Amino acid sequence: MSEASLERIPWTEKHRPKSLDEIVGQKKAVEAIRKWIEDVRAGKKVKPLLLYGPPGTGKTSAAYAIARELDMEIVEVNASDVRNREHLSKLLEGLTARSLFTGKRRMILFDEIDALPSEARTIASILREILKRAPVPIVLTANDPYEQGLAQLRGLTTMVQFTRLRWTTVYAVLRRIAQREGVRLPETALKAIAQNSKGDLRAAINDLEAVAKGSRELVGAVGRLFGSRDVEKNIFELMRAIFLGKNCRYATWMTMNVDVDPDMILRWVEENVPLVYKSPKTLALAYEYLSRADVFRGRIVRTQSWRLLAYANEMATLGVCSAKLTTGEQTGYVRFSFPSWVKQASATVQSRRTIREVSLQLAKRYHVSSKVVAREILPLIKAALGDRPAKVIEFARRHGLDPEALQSALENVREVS
Amino acid sequence: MRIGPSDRHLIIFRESLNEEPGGMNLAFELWIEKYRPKKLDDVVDQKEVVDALKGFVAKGSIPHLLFAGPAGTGKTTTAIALAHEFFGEGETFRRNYMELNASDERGIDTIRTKVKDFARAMPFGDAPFKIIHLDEADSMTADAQHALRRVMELYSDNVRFILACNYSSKIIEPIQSRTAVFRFNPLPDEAIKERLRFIAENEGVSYEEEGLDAIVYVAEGDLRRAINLLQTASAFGKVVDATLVYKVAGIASPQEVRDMIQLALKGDFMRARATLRDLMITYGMSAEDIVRQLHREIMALPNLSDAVKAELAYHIGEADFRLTEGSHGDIQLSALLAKLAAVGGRA
Repeated sequence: MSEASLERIPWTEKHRPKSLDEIVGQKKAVEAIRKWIEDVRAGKKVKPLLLYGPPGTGKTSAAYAIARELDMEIVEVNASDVRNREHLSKLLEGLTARSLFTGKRRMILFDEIDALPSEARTIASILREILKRAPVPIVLTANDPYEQGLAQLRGLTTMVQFTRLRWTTVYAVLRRIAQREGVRLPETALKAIAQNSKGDLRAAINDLEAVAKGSRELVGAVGRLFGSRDVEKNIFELMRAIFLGKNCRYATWMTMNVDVDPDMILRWVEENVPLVYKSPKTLALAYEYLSRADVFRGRIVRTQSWRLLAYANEMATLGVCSAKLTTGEQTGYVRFSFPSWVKQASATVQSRRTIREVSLQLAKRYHVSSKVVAREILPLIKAALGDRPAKVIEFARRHGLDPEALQSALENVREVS
Repeated sequence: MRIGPSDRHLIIFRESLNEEPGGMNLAFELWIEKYRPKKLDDVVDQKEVVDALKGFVAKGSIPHLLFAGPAGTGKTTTAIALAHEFFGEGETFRRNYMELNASDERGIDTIRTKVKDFARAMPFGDAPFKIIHLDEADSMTADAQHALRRVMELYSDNVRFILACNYSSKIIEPIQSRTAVFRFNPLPDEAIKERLRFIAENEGVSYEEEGLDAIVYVAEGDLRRAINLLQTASAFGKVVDATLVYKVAGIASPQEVRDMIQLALKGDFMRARATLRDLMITYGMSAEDIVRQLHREIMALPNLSDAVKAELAYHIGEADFRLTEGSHGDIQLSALLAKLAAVGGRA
């Protein structure tokens, strides 16, 4: 621990690029930024700059580099500032003046605006206000500017895209940092960290620091252990092991050592079984094991006997994997698919709860169980009341229901199209 | 906003006012309530049961009763009608008759408390006893049923129980032996259709014959479901036809299920599974509903041998059982479709 306190600045800060030239792998973005800087210098009226792209690709670093090139001081506006209007207006009032301490002019940075999509409207109005008042350069960053809430912001800004870094680029940076820090790590470890980072340089540097400081024993297993940063990659490896591999026990081993929700594993296997197994015999055999694994899932959930999980995983992996060996079906490479069921079905949990609560209250009234209300009577009420809120409120009042709960239950009752 | 029991009576009272000719017909009324037979004699198609019960009424005493039969065959209606014959209308009825649904009450303790509170007080008016109608009694565990038996005995001076269930075999023997058991048979399609026609004419609903047939198909002998479907369909469309009925029933038309079966038997598993997911997610059908419909349609297939059907019966039954055991209905049904594909490949 004392070692850690000596080295308090995280490497991601310590080795942050100081100028635009030091930002790696973003040639086009840097060009666009330089053009914008020239316009600011020339005193032109510029739109705010929106830097967007995946995490760890250099957006925030670029923003600070811009300030340095313009010799300005950054005023960072964060989420809580946006919510606190009073604080914000004070902050904005002093903007045009030079900094009291440094005498520098100022630039505004809204970092990670998509972290607060609900505030996007507020941010947009703040931007308009600032632009109206004074020509202060503004920079914003976002991971996903195509998030719905950000539509207004997109129109107000000049957008600059940061792309995911290639692993070789990440690797080169890691090697440079390792050298500067005097850390000796095998090439394979640096390579594993770089490849696992999925183009996120910040994550890679954090991993490097973790390995370098005290966690040296992790080096050998770095590929596996840092895998948890990359759930998707693990899943794909698991799919390959199950559907393409001959060593089925490796697949089982992976389910124990990979940080993926067991239910998700079941879903992934189920989605991809028919994509890989073409013969009906193999398909039926594989599905038989999935069905049994699911029965065990049911038992686990009902009795909370998590020790049964090992059996369920073995059926889902050993069973499905060995099906092709039993029938002798040759499998070839396929593009594994994300379980569509998960996407489609995940939205319905909350709505089922509302429906159940309302149904319970209506059940007595109609001499039936809540199941019957949910299945037969709510659709009927929905049909009869239609899209007339006044009717819904009136009905709720008559039956002693919370109008909002009723409205929500009716909205979630199956749509008749 | 929650209201107490007394308020609820007020509301029911007000709604009955609205039914009066010339009353402001603001209340939205369920036809299953409006057309619920008020007297034992009006109960549809359960003549033997009704005759026996009328004998009890005439003698002024009833034993504990067990009504066994599928949903929508008149168990609840008969219980209410019987209570009315004993208690008449109004306050005597309301204060002496209580209804509980075992599947909606959490645990035997709730039931015991409610039953105890209700049974402790003497019958209201000159009624000889109170009546407790416990619906879906077969959803109770054996332990809970034993506890219930004790309660029945403890308060048998004051209270008669009417237990309703789908399967009498799921009721423990000590209870069966203390009750008079009445079986309610599934209603014949013709009886359901006749009732639907009566309500439709009365309510001025236009319908096509195929529309009523579709309701009968979906309802499977369940008159309540049939009437609810008729009312829902008539709220949606001007004419109740088959397409509309399948839509509002949230059920695949028999054709869609048949198509899914054929896809699986042909070995086109991917499309069969896509259809299945569509039925479950878009239509919101439950896995239980689908497996029942699959069963019905597969057994009716003309081009499968009896030997193959026997094998499929095993697989469908196994899937049905695993549905109750497992946690993901869609996986169980997909596994069944894969079985169909394998069997279809051999046949």
